[in-house]
Amino acid sequence: MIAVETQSLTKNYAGKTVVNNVALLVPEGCVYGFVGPNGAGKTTVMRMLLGLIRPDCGWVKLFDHDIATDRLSALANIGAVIESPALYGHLTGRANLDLTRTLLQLPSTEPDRVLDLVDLRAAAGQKVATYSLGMKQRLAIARTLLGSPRLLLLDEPTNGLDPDGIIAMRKFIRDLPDRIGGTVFVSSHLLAEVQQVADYVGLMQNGQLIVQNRVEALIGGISNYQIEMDEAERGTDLLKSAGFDAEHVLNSVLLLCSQGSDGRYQAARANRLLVEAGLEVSALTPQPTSLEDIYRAALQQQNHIDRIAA
Amino acid sequence: MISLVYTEIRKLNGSLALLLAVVAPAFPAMLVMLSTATSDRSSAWSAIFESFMLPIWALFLMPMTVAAFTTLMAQIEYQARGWDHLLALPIRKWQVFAAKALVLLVALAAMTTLALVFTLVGAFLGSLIGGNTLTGQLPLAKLLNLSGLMLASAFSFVALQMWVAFRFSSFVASLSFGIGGTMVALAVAMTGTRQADWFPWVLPMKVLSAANPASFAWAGVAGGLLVLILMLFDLSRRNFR
Repeated sequence: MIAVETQSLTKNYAGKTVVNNVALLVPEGCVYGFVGPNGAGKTTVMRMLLGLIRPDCGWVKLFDHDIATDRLSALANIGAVIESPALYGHLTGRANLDLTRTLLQLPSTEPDRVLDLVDLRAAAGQKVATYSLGMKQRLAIARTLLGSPRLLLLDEPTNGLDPDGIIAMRKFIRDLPDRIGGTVFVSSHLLAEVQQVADYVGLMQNGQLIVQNRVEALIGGISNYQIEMDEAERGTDLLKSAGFDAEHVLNSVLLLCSQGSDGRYQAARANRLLVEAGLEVSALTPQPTSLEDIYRAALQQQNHIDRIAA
Repeated sequence: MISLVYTEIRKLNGSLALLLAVVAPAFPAMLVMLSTATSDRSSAWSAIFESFMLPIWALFLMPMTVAAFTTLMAQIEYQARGWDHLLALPIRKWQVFAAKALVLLVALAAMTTLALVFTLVGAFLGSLIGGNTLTGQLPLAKLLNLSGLMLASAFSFVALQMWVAFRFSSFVASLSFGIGGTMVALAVAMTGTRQADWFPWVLPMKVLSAANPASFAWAGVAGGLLVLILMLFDLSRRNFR
């Protein structure tokens, strides 16, 4: 079953396209990391997923219910925190939960159940205005868990948290699919953060979804090699002129980035090219790949496509 | 819908809006108390209410209180980013705003009732302090009738005020709108012009002064319903960011 599906999702503000032709596909039961720099259009996409703003083009389906035509069914099993936690500061934590519980017509035991899940029961009687940012984030997430939704949308949940809070939130998100038996769609501008929690990832850049796949598949499809040599700058130029993706890192180090399954073969070819050019290669070491490498590679590819289109 | 109204009432708990709802009706009572305490003549109950309290409430205090109350009510959502949460729940959007409108109308009726009760107490205390007697009968039935008609006639400016308060995130827009409407009504009252009889902020005053108060009350209800429907349609389709 598909939890979230969008097609041709587009939104313009003041003549500027902030979300452009986004086609998301989020399978049920996974953690989906929605990544991109600030201003990439992540929050706008999430607002469209929830029907808070209407797209200029395209459609959104949550569990096969179109948000535009079947909004109540689409939102029936969704919990969401968009941007900052939307909480009433003059009310207690429990009262905030109880308002939503009443609106969703859930049993009166629900607030205590979700307060336990986020370890906030002791502070439930305090006014939210006195909470730290981390406590507010946890309370907002607790509220999304009311009624055991099948899909959680969390927008930058680690924003403003201290290191301990980030670690706790990461573990919390990682465990959520097992705990709620559903899907978590989490946005972030921190690639390393998402890599640690997500099964699937969608990378946004300038309003476009430039990559979407399983994290494992993406990381497996790219390999970096660190090449230690004399005249690394000359070596970088040589490799670039031969069509390799190379980057001069230090005086005697360059980084070779290859895509596809033939990374080892490409590294060998680069090595031969450098040696034949009379350069001394002293070490060739495979480097662990990260989402950052995927993002960089995808960005280069996207820029290349944009240049051709222009 | 009942649960929505219930949650809207609970949101007011501990808010500045609730404080205003209690404090504002005390102002006419304070004025009446000062007046009766310092007067060297006895005052009639009918004059206290019909010539003093109700005109002040209808012309100035009620519209200003409505402006402040709706602004504070809307700011509860804007400051907490409550729209993001509320409008992402599986609830019809128009019902969210309709519940707020209902709570506001009930609050206004409660504030008007409080203003009447406080004035009664204020006049009584003032007469005790000043050693004056209060003459005549308390015109309770007439007061209830006039208050009801006044509330009905206020519906159109209340709906307009509500629309502006919920539509714009800035409290300046809402307050300026309310103050502007009240100032126009005051100018109309001072100049005695007939040109603006149907201006929404003038209608409550017309209920008190015109020979046919019911027609102004009906005009307020009809205008209010129209504005309310337009407001629900507009806000339900609005992109809240």
